[in-house]
Amino acid sequence: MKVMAYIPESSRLQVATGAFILLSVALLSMIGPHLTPDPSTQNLSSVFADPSSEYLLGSDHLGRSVAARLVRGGANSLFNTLLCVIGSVLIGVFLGLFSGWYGGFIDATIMRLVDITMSFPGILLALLIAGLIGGGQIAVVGALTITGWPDYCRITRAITQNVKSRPYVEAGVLAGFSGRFILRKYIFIEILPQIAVLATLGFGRTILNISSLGFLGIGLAPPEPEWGAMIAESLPYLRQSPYLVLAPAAAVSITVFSFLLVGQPLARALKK
Amino acid sequence: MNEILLNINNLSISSMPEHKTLVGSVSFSVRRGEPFTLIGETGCGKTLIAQALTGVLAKDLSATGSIEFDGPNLVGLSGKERRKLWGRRMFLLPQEPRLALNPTMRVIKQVSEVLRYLRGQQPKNALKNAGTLISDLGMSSSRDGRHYPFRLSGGMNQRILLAIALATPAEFIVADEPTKGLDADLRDSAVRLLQNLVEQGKTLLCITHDLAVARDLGGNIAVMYGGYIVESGPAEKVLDSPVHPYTQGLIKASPENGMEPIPEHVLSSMKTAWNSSGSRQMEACL
Repeated sequence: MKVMAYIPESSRLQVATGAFILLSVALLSMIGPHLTPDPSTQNLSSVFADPSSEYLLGSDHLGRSVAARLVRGGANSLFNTLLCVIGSVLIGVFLGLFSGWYGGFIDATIMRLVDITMSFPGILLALLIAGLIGGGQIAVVGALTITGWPDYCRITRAITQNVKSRPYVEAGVLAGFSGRFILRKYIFIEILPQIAVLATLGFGRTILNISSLGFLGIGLAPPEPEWGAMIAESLPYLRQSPYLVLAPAAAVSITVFSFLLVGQPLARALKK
Repeated sequence: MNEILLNINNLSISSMPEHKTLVGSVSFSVRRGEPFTLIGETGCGKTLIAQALTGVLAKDLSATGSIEFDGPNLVGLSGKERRKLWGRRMFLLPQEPRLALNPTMRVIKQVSEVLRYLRGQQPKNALKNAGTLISDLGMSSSRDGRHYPFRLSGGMNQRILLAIALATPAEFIVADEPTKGLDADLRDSAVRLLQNLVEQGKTLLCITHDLAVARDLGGNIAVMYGGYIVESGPAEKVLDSPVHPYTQGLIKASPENGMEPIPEHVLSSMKTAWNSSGSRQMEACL
């Protein structure tokens, strides 16, 4: 493993553990929905059932299988998170490259845009946007993408400015290469590792945000399950059947925690 | 075909807000397919001429006069038109070979990239031709070519840069201090590589403070001091029987001739001559 060579020996176990948990979560979310019963089927004759062979993690207040909802919810949350992160990275890197390379007016405009976006707490802006265009997948993903890109943009711009002033880039320009060619071949390659690490950490944050929005009821339309929404739905029954809340909450925590396990040593290794 | 590729006429470079003259009406011309050497001490404005020529003058400097490159005047050309010349018509050989190569790319790839981008060759052909260029310069394309720049020595990196210069379709190469930081041995081989460029039909403008380089390259030379050309002509004639007292002093000041300082009265007489003619010179030199 080439990547492992960059991680200090002391944190290799940590990264491996995180990666293992993440892979398991991803695998469960991908395969799980095919193995469990339909997550939306209600069975009002067996509400709040204890865990059994039929309901692996019991059933909720409408008699739906919690296990099925958990894996399906994971698939939804992870997929939406992926969309958000990809969207944010694409926008951020693209604008950051432009900003750093061309400078001047373009740079100033994009950076003010970044300032404006960053001056709002991300989740608040997401709430506002989601509130304006209504809930649903597009609203949540769109809102979190719009609030998520500035980080990537700033780091891309900083690296671009740094690399731009190196002699070999100047030599490339004088050798007749176009700006687009240099951005692609000389600068993008320097940005990639930084962005990859930032995206790993961003992944965890976005899952948290998506769950928060789900918890507040701005997520996928019910009965489609989602981790945040599951917590909100089951909160009234916390005393009676605590695992209804604990299961999705644990899923969110473990996933976010594993992203941190993987991301932090990588970020630290890159800083050196 | 015009025999004179580059004709510089009354080129002056001055700093913008203060209007201080850094290079004062310099004129010379470079013949196609021949080397031309600009020689002078540090701060005499020779690099500024190269920058004005390639169009990378700092923003607060302005050039007046004319630089006729194969006809059209380059002074006041827009950035867009400049870019059409870079790499395609003229190539600036960078000063520091190791820094001027992309550290994230194998060197053979960097040569082939120029062939692909500027000559439109297919990837496979470009790689093959890049290998030929590298081995023509006395390196192994299969071993050295596959290395990243940091694995190669300074001299090898310089050869890669020359391979890149040869790979471009540019007919005019500007070499700014090509022997900077090289010992005598490497300097000789660098000069041989530059001669190689000329043999391949390129026109070379070499900027240096090293008299030996100028002598070995041959062709015409111009001696600069304080932003002016004090003497110019064929290299042998200027270096063997210099007429101007400054050139005589410069030759005596070189290490092999005893490192005798240029006499103060020569410098001060030039200073008074310029002052009486109403022009201002670079402070760095005087």
